Amino acid sequence: MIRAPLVKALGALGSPTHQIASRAVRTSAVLAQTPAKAPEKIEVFVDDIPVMVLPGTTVLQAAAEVGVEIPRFCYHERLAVAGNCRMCLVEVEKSPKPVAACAMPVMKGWRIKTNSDLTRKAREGVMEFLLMNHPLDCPICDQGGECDLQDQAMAFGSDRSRFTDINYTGKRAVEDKDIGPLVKTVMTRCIHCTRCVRFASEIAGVDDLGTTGRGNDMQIGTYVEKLFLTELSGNVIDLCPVGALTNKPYSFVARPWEIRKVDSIDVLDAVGSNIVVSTRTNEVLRILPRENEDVNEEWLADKSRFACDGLKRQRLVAPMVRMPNGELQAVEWEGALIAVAKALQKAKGQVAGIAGQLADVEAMVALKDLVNRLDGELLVTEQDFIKGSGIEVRSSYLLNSTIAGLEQADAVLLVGTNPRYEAPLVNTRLRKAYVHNELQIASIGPKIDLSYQHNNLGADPNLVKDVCNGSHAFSKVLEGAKKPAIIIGVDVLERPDGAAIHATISEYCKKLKKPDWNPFNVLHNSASQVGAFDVGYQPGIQAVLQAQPKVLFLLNADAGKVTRDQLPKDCFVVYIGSHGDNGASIADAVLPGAAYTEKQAIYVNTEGRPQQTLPGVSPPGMAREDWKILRALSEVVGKPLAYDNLDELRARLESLAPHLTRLGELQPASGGESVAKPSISISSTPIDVKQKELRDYFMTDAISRASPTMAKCISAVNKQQRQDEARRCAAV
Amino acid sequence: MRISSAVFAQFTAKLKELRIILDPTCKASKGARKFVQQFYPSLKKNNPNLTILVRECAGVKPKLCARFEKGKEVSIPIANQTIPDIQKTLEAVGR
Amino acid sequence: MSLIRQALARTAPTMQFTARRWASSQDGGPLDPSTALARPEELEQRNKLSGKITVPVEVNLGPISGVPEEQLKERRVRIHIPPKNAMQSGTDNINTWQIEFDNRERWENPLMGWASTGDPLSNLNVKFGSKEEAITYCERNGWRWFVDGDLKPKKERVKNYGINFSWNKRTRVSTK
Repeated sequence: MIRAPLVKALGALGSPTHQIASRAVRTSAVLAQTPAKAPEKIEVFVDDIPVMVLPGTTVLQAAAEVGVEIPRFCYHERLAVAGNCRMCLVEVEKSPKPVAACAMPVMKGWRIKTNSDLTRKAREGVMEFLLMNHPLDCPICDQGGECDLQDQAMAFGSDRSRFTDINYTGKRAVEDKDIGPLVKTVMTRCIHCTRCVRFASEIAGVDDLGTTGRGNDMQIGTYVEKLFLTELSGNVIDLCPVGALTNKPYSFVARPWEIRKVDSIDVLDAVGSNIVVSTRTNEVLRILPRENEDVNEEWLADKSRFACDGLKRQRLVAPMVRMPNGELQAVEWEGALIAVAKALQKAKGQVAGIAGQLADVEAMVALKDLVNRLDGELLVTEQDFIKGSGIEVRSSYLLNSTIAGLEQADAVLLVGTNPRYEAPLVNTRLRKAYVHNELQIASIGPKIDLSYQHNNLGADPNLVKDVCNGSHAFSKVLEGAKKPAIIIGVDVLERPDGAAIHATISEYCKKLKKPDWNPFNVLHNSASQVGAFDVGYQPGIQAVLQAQPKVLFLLNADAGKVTRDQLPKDCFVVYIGSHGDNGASIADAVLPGAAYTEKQAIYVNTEGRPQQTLPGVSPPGMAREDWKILRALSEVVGKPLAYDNLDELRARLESLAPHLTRLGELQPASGGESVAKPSISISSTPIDVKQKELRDYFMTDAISRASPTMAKCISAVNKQQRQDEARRCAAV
Repeated sequence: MRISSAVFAQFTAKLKELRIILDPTCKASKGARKFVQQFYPSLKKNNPNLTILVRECAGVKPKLCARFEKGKEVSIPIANQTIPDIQKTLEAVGR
Repeated sequence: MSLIRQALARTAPTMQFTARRWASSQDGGPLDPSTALARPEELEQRNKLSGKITVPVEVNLGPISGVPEEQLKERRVRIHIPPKNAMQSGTDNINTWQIEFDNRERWENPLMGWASTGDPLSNLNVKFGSKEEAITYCERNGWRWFVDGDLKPKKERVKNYGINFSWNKRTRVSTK
């Protein structure tokens, strides 16, 4: 067994997370393995094939290097080692018993046999035991077709059963547990691998799931009647190797072999998680995560996973024009485009555009080109940011440490952001650093429940000044850290003194900067924001409201920040988007667009990585892709845009900002240059965050507002809260 | 090299947006990088309403793009140019 | 003696040749199919080209494959590695490259409720061993292609059962 560097008994120093203790033991499991010089590799034989591995690798990892995959149920490469399923038992020569490959580190010269008689007998035996108590649910189990137990039983199990107890005591049965509207549990099928328990405890940070009882009577659940309410709860569905935990909205819908899979990107938050959209007959049935080590590892947040049923509701399927009696009436495309063109010709240059949360880069570029050709200059994003030079240098609006880089951070200051609900997959990285890298986190803002222990310094914005001029205790932590990071949320940058806060922190980060590490980070919460800034959209709708345009384009602008009474009476509002939400309700012309699963479009995530969605289904009814609508409109107006197909549009993107066509790659952003001092200094209104509780997480944009599953989640959270209140009152 | 900021006073109102595209590491963009570092603050001060976007990407040839009224755009390559050359190009564009 | 030997050596090949007996005098010996089946024009062409070399030219089978021109011009092929199924932990099929075409509309057929489509290439999913093979295939067929992603090297992870029980680190397991 590898020994971590010996730690002297630290006596009375109490809690393991004490600062001095963690400093003295400045080693994580990773550091223990890679000291200054690389350790010598040792030679091991897997099925008589020699392989050189680092000391400390497990038998399973050594076999994987050779290309031999040892079957397992409980082992997962992103969770801690449990070693309780015993399916990975392999024979090691000269060992009296077979060895659990997932947990046993190799020794020099071991000869591992993954296909010998003993190994095969062990696997058959384990499989026999698992199947003894497993119900014959395959025909009604959702996991059928993508079940680890099915596949491993076929590949490694015995071909005949010896189970005669069915005529006497029978198989064990366990009650189903209600853990929420998202995860369906059939606990009889559970094989007690404890992957869900480990995930909830290590990655999600909620210790709600656990095991009760021993042996045959072991049950996995929350023990008390509690819902499993965390923003990452859907990942246990992927982790469970059998059909014990399944996707509740997707139950009994489809089998995996009749599904078509399309790789895409999630746009319901700014992380840009890679997803796989599963479709059948032009319907999106479910969304699964795709592995991307740099963005979302292999997790997916709940809103991204379950809000796909919002894609079927409240959809705009026909172009509409508002009649003189105030009602929107469906018309043909020609009618709608001609109505808009007429308004544009009357406007004579007083045209403006607002890009909302789900707008893609291609549509934004097409709108910008169209509005510029019509002599308009006002193209803004709905979400506000700092004015002045905020969008000009990329590093002033990106998550510069990168999402994968935050895993290596050792001191983080959160200013006015709740990453748990704004970007759950960034929060998992912070938690990963907290667990493995002894990360110290402090937050300036309201008291929020992050999935790890952190130090809330208060909500006073003057604390920002204190930290940045070095007078606060936490400044010493930041300055002494090898990779410090300061993450600012967009909610705080929307304030009038946002520019001052941005400038103060930006100055301080110049001091904290290390080679290859920029500590200044901005965490966005809308998928279109970074793309809009890259292309040249200004932040904030105040400029548009001041200019009182005659024609206003709302490109997926559904946050409801613009209301009809703020605009002049004769303003012609054109809404281009997929859902009938706030934007369409104030529009004079509605041009139905495509949602993110229906178009090939580029979205840039909060760290500046452009990624593209691919169409899995076609837009419903008469809806079309957004940039095609704008191209058609430009033709009708008489100022045709210079591109006719996606390739030409992407060539235009290349000329605007070439990093947008290098999909999946992160370009290094140069350091920010200092410009004029902001006019409003830091005020003393306390810093607040919009998404404080799980209830605020579920409905944040047009698609999730239209989703019945999200509504069920909110009511479940409310119910749980009422139950807790009742219990507390009863106890008192 | 000190240049009086009066040189970059007030570009024409017809110039709506300026884009500087450069490569953060390669040699051909060195002039462009140094230019942005030195002159961006003064450019911004003298033309507060002009959007000047600086966009980096690995493996591109540096360019200076200017957008005027009615969507007309001009794109000038500035590869391997020194700072005075880029200044001259910029002035020509801004007039 | 040596003279006789010399004489024998000179006549040896012809003697050997004549020593091979044919079943019948009409048998001309084994036939070479490329000359026997060739038409006289082909033989003439071959003789003309015999002193020259052939330089390979880009192969584009698009115009002769019978695929309608619209499909060749407007479809883009995506060359990619299909992602691992998130619901399972098997990794045997995550290293093959695959081509897929851009998705076109599918709708529910009114007769049986099955999925109908007007896209003849909707199910064309050819698997390849490497990116280059896939690219060659697309080039030969005359399709426009783009490569999406690449084989990512597996991240080396440290798996240590002992850290579950560390007494002062946060990796100590808090649940069973």
